Parts: sequence; structure tokens; C-alpha cells
Amino acid sequence: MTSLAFIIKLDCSPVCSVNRFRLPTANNNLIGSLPNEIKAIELLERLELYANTVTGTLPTTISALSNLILLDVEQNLLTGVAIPSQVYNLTSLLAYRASNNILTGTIGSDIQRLALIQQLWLSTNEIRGSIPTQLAACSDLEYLFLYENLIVGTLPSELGSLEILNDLRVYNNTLQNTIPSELFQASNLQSLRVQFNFFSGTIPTEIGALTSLTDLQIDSNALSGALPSEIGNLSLLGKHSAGKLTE
Amino acid sequence: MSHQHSSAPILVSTENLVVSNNFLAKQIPDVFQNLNRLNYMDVSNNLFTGTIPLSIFQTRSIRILYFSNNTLSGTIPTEYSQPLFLTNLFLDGNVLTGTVPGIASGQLQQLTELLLEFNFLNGTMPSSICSLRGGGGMLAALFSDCGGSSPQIFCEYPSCCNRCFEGGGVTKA
Repeated sequence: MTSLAFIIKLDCSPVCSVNRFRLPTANNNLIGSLPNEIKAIELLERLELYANTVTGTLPTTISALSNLILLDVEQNLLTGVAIPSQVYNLTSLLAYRASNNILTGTIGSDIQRLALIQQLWLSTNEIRGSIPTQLAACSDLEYLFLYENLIVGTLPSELGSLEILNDLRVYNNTLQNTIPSELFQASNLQSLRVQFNFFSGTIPTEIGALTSLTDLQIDSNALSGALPSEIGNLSLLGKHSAGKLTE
Repeated sequence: MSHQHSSAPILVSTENLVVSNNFLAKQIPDVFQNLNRLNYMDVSNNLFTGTIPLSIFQTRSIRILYFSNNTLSGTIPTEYSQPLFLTNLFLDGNVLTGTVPGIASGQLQQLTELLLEFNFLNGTMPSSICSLRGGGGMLAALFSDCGGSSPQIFCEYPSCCNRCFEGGGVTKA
């Protein structure tokens, strides 16, 4: 068995100039918890441990990685709180990918400290609590994956202010109440997957404003009323051009 | 090395439209003619009434269409044979009447599942549909109300329809 501590040290010594550490994926020999030595790699911008068998919790020393822009621990066996306090300190983070683990806890209002975050992937865990309205303060958010958790409460209408939100997936939770019409002000939304929840009320006619929407999955809820005719607008001419001059 | 340039805007259109398993009601709006990239629409298991929207068959990209288990009435529109890439058409569990329209040769060549059971359709299954089973097409599942002592629709089992139900409003198990 190879320990993570060994590998990370190997990449870092004698001079810690590495700015990217990527653990080979799907290597079942790489079992173990994240070492505290991880703080040695101060220049680290990308820590990618995707698809391994890393166990335990994220070390508290991770908060020393002040230049980290990508923390990818997706598809491991991590336990503990999904967003521990040391992650909220990583204010340079553009992407936190922690899907497919065994993470628990709630998404705290501190999420707004990750002011630059573009990708928040927390799907397929055991996260509880509700979606904090403070998420709307993360104005660079493009990908919000909270699906397959134990999240309760409502879909905050404030998320409609996320102008570049591209992909919102909250399916397979126990969300309730209406799909807020304000959500459809997020005019860059291309994929909206809210299926397998307990949403009720009607499908807002404002949905017709989402002319970039290519993927609408709102099945298996308790929605009533008519299917708004505005869904026929979801095909208007996009603003994209068909490609720049390339060579 | 290739040069590509176009100032033409890309048509952006919904690809997946999935609203099944809700309590949605009234007529399905007939507004799909511009959704030119739509390939999967599922409105099944709702309370929709009225007729099958004709414009859905103008979306040439459509592959999968699930209308199952609503209260859709009227007839199967003859336009149903137009989408070139249609693989699954589920119309089962509605209150459709009339006969199954025949198709021209070369149409519905990709169709693998056509579910028509639990409706009020009658007449005879067109030979042009039966020929999609076996050599003439890809149709693996053709289900209709062709069972019982006085079948609602005549369809040879199992060479044409490979499952026959007793229709006429019999509740599906």
C-alpha cells in the first residue's frame, strides 16, 4: 500500500515548486487518509484526488493552501462534514468538487466566503439541512450540483440573481414548496434538474425567458396546473455565434 | 488545417423536456415546432387532456416521446410517421380513438417501441406497421389492445403485435 503522504512529499521535495498535484485515478493501492503534511505545498493551485479510495476527513491544515483554485476530492470515501471550516478559508477556490463521498453536515451560510467559486459539486453524499440563501452571494457560480443528498426546505428564490448560473441540479432530495419564478431570471441557465423532490404549485410562465435552456427535468414532483405555452420559446436564437475563425 | 467561419447564429433549443409524474393538467400546448433539437420529451403520468400536439412531430430531432397514462383523446395524427429518428413512441393508457394510421415505406425506420395499449383504438393494424417488425424495420415492441375474445384492434399475434392487451378501459395492472 502506498500512502498519500509519501506521494505528495515526493512531488514536493526538495523544492516545493509544484502547483498541481494530481493523484492517478482509480488506483486502489492508494488507500489512506489525507496527510497533514499537505500544508507544505503552499504554491499548490490544484489538488486533484479524483476517483481513489481516500478515507477520513479533509485535514485542517488544508486551509494553508491559500493559492488553491481547484480542490477535487470527488469519488472517494471521505467522511465528515461536506464543507468543513477549513474549506471556507480557501477564498481563492474556483471549484470545490466533493461529489460521491460519504460526507454529511449542512451547507453553511459561510458559503458566501467562497466569493469566487464557479463550481460547487456536493452531489451524492449525505448532506442535510437546507440550501442557504447566502449561496446567491457567490455570483460567479456556474455549476451547482447538490443532487442525491438529504437536503430539505425550499429552493431559494435568491438563486435567480446568479446571472451566469449554467447548470443547477438538485434532484433526488426532499425539497418542497414551489419552483420559484425568480429562478428563471438566471438567464444563462442551460440545465435545470429538480426532479424527484416534493415541489408543488405550477410551472412558472417565466420559464419562457430561459432561451438557453436545453435540459429541463422537473418530473416526479407534485406540480399541478398547465404546461405553460412559453416552453415553445425555449428555442429562440441564441446569442452565440457559430464559431470564430479558427486555424 | 481547416478554416471555418460563420456569422450565422446557432439555434439553441431544448433537448430534454421531462415533466412526467406530476399532476399537470389541461391541453399540452402545441408549441414545439421551433424546438429543433428536442430529442426526448416525457409528459407521461399526468392529467393532461385534449389531443396529441401536432407540432411535436415537426421537431425533426425527436427520438423519444412518452405520452403514457394521461387522458389524451382524439386520434393518432397521421404526422406521427414524420420524425426520421423516432425510436420510442408511447401512447398507452389514454383515451385515443380511431385507427392506427399507415405509414409510407422508409418511414419510422428507427422505431423500436410503439406502445398503443389501453386506448379505444380500433380497426386493423396496418401492414406497413407490421412490416417494421422483422426485416422491414427495428420495431421490437408493438403492443396494442388486440387481446380477449373480441379484440378492439386486429393485430396478428405474435408476428405483428407481440403483446396483446384487453383494452376498452381495462385498468392496467
